[in-house]
Amino acid sequence: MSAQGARTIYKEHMIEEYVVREEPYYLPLSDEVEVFEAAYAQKIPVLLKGPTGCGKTRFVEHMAYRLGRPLTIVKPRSKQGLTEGGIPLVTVACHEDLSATDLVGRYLLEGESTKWIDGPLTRAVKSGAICYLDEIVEARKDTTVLIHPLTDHRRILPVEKKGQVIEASGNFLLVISYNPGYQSALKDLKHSTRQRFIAIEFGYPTREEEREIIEHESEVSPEIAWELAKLGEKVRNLKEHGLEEGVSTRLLIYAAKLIGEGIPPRRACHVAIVWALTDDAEVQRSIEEVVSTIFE
Amino acid sequence: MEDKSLSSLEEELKRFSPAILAEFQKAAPSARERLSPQQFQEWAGEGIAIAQLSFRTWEAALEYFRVTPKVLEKLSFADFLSWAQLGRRLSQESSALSSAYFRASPGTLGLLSPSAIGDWVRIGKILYQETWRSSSLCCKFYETSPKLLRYLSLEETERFVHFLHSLTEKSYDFATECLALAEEVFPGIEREERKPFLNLALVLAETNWRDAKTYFASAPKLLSRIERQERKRFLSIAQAIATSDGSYAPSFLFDGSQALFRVDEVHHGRLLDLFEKILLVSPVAAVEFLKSCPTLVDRIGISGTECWFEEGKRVLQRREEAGEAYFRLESAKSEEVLERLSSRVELEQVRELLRMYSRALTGRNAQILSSENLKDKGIGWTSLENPSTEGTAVYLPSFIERYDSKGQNFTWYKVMVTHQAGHLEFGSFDFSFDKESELFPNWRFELGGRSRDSITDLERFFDLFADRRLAADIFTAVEDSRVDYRLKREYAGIRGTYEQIQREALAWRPPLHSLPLREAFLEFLVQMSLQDLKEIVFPAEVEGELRFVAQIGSRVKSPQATVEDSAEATIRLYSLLSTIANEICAQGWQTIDLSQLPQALDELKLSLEGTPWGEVAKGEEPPYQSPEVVQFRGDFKPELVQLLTKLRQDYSKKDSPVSPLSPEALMELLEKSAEIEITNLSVGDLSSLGLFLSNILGEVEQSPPLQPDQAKKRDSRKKMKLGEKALNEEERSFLYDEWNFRANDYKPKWCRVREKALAEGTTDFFENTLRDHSRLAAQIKRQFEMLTPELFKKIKRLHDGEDFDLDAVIESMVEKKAGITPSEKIYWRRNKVERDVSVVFLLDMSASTSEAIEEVRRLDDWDFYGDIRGYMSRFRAYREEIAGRKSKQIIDVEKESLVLLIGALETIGDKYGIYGFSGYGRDNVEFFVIKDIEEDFSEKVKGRIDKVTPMHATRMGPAIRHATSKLGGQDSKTKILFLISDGRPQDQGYGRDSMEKDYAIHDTKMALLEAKRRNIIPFCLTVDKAGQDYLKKMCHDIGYEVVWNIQSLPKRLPALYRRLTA
Repeated sequence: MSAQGARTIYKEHMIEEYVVREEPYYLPLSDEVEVFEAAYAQKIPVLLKGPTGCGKTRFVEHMAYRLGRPLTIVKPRSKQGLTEGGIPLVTVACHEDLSATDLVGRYLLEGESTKWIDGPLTRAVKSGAICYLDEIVEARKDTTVLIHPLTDHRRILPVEKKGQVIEASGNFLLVISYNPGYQSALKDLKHSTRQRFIAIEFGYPTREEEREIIEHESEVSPEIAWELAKLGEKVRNLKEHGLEEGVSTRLLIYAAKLIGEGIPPRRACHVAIVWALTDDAEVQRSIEEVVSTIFE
Repeated sequence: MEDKSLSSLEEELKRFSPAILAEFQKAAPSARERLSPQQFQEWAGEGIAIAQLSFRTWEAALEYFRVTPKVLEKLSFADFLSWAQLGRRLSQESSALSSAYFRASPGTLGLLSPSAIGDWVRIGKILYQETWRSSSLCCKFYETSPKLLRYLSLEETERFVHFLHSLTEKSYDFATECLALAEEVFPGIEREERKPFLNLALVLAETNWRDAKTYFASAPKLLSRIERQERKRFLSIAQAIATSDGSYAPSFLFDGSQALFRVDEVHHGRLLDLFEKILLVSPVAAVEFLKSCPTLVDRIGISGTECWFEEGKRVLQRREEAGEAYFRLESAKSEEVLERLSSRVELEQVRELLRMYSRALTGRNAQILSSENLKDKGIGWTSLENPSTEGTAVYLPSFIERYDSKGQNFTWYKVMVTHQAGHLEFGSFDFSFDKESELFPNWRFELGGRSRDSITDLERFFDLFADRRLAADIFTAVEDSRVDYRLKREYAGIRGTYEQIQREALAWRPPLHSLPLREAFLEFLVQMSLQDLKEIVFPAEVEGELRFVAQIGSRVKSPQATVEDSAEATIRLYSLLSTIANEICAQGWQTIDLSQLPQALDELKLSLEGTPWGEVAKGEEPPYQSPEVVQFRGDFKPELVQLLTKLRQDYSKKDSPVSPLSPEALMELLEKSAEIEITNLSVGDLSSLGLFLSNILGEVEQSPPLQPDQAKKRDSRKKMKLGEKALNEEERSFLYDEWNFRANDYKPKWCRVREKALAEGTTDFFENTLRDHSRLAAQIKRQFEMLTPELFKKIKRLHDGEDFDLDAVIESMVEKKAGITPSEKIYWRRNKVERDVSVVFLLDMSASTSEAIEEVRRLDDWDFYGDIRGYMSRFRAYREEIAGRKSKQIIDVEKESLVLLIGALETIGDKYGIYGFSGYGRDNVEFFVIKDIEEDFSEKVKGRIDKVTPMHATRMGPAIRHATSKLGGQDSKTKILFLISDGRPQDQGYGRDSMEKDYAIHDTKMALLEAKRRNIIPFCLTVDKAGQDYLKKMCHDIGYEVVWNIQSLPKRLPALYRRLTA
């Protein structure tokens, strides 16, 4: 950046250079780690399904770290920095205006001429990163078509505007996520897309597992974590009975963190769970009653 | 001389009538006794004078002589003379009058001082108007005087007579009746109330004579309803009302007293205070207030009522109409204030909340219903008060007012639900005979039990015991104890409240020493389940047994304990308790320390031998009574629940109403089960047992079992099933408020909308319409298809996009060269506007849509004035003509339009629902589902369209509100409510007459506005040519259109739709 690079107080990475350095905590609920490793070894794209906040993103980070670990050891610091320790993780959160251009790249005006800028997907393909397209169905339909050639045996990315085809680097893997719960039928994933991925389904963890996750993430006492896990289980019973979606582990962790900071448990649950989940006064009150039944 | 004069007198009298003479002779001896000869002469002379007055006065004279002996007893001769002279003067007016006067005198004179006789006569004469009716009334008055004067002073009598007199101006019959009633009425009225009572009567007779009689007749009853001290006040208020504006007085008198009657007497004074405060502002509101009092006092007490009143007074002062509705309890505001003040919690208000709460705890979709529903089912539950569950729903009392605060009352509900949910969550009903228990050795397996022919595991379990009732009671106590323990352990937050309520329950338990021994043991078990007892007062001789019971009882209070453990505990306790005689134990009660119970179970030596096992020792002892139900726990009937669950499962599996179980086996189970209350069913009464059985089977058919998280599937299955069946199955009802524009407030829960699926007919109508209008159909379809491509739009001049917009780039370059800051908007992007439309068509199915179209038009064309014969003949010809080729009705055109539109809608994929509405009265707004918004288009829908026929009235408001709530559940970007009608809204009490017209229109308008507020675009289409006038008012700034030529509707509707959604 500037001459005084040493003074920067924030970390800035090129998108394809972002590597997960520290092991993200992830508690396997089943054999998803092994399955993912096998898929990675065979370069089979992966679809992660599951409700919001159940740990899909964390899982991808965890896997990026885990799969990159041997590389860190084998290859010491190199000049290029691209493969410097671990597999880069390119995460794109999809939104409804996300178009193919946004993923692949575009021309920008620079001075008198135009300049091509690679999009995140192109960069990931080139650098051999794990490219994680979060909530893929939110994006425009043209993006899903774009990833088709990348996700079969061809593993190529056509860049129409430049008249190029980029072959994916050996390490490249496409991972997409998708929540079948609340998307309307209009936004369902097409079969031509869907059948290019293996699917790993994420559910909510069991009470015991969730307690462990909450305890680890927020450093509250096991008792509080246990009660929160219990609350999570109870509130999830309300899914489709007032709630569109059960409470996520993420929210439970937030509540735990607030409790850790000294907020009384009922209040913490109030702000982190009750209000976060719904605007419907009656549902709020029901959850509130469940909270007051569980927490003193 | 004396004799001569006597004979001459007799001679004279004889001339008038021999009857007179006879009377004279009868009276003479006693007169002679009392009177001097001089006086005797005067006496007789007076009689003759009366008789001489006119043609018929001899009758009066006759009476005069007849009553003389009695009158003379009461009056001195001087008074006698003036009495007689009064009579003579009356005779001058009317002989009948004075006859009545004389006749009534013996009875009356004892009640009056001699000097008051004149007043009495004068009062009577007020009624006399020289007509025969008045004279007969007046006579009646004199005749009833002896009775009247017994209760009334002269002054009061005079008032009463004035009352009668003013009634006579309207109706002599009424006056006569009142007079006749008087002798019954006055005894019922206290002395000090008579004056105000008569004053009011007087006013009423002038202002409201028709009600006056009713008032007069029912006064004693009326007044008896009111607290003694307040009666006078009540009457004077009524008088004030009647004086100012008579029309509210009857309502005040009758409804008001009725209402006060339903309130505790001590509050009457305060309520009347309040009443008077608003009386001057609005008599209507005041009377309404009084009428609402019973409800108010019942719900929020007297002090609450005062607060509620103050709020209402403010409303009233701002706006009279609103205040009246407030006091009538017909405004949302009043309901809201009432709600705030009420400490009572109604199940209805918290039902949904509790449902979600119990769902959260159990993961099962248990409904929350009032206990009445369960009792009404007649399947074994009889209590209205106790909470319970039968496996698919939790039943609770319909309201709680145990405590003074809403919060506490709600907590009571919550604890009850938690307990019932605990039974579901911790598996009370999942008992399995063959499952190992955790804490006890499994004696069940050794004891065996019939494994083959039992229907449920619990039946098999209870079959182990000779006395099922005792076993069931033990099991209930132990299992409740286990569930409570688990709940308190699992849910720390509710623990405190729960224990509080347990302590309260404990305080209500009967003392142990009042019970026979076996019952005392049971009671001890129950009390132990409510609290950890450290010590207890119990007979010392059974200390060992008590320790054993305590040990077993506390063992199930463990996180590991399962329902099977409760069962094992039951076996052990039963084997002990069945040997204990149920006798009152008078001696040896002492405190037994229970704090040190051994952890290890020293198994009591129990003999499993003996035939049959567990027969209860029976001696000379009081019959065993089950312990009282712990209120917050309610009824626990695991055996019935298991049975119902089992039957439901079988039913849903087989999908046939015939139970795979033989009715005999079921009967046997029911007969022996201790859970069916004997009070309801005499033992061995097979006919009522049969009824009971059919109730149970009916219940099973109605509600298939609910597994966790299967609720949704069930719903869809139900829907499907109903689609196949006939009408009336699915009668879901919804309550909606109605807008009262006069009060500027809602009438809460005013209308009931019943949603039903329309029956299915044939698909012919649908197919025929498409065939008949094939050209139009194709045309519409093409138009709609053209809508789709328009949705992709290339948007230029963006900051960011798919590619450069070349024009913009060049411009930008030029600007740059020219030294101007170039525009950065140089990209373009294809923007796909997703069509995301939900629409609801609301079809008016009122009776008026049956009007034939041609008929309307052609009859209008004919000018029949002056040529009625020609008109008739043409009309007849026309009738024959249309009889031949079924004429088209308005509704047919509406249906045709829909058919054509459906085709179009299917091509563009908008979500749409079609509903019809009609009904009669606010309690019965019918809402027919032709195609539900979530439902796919199918043959069924085609069939239903066929069945769209004109029905009853048009109450638009609630139908619109219901459609709005349906649309509100959709998450589309564009939501449209399309109302198709043929005229103005009207229903009973809803725009029927011109007074109400505005009401209906305003309510409809408000309903449309509500829709608009919820981001729904309402649109009204009417085929009523007169529609312009009210639609303008009704729709205000909402889109509407009047279709002038109904034939064009099929063409117009799709066009409008396109315009609306574009």
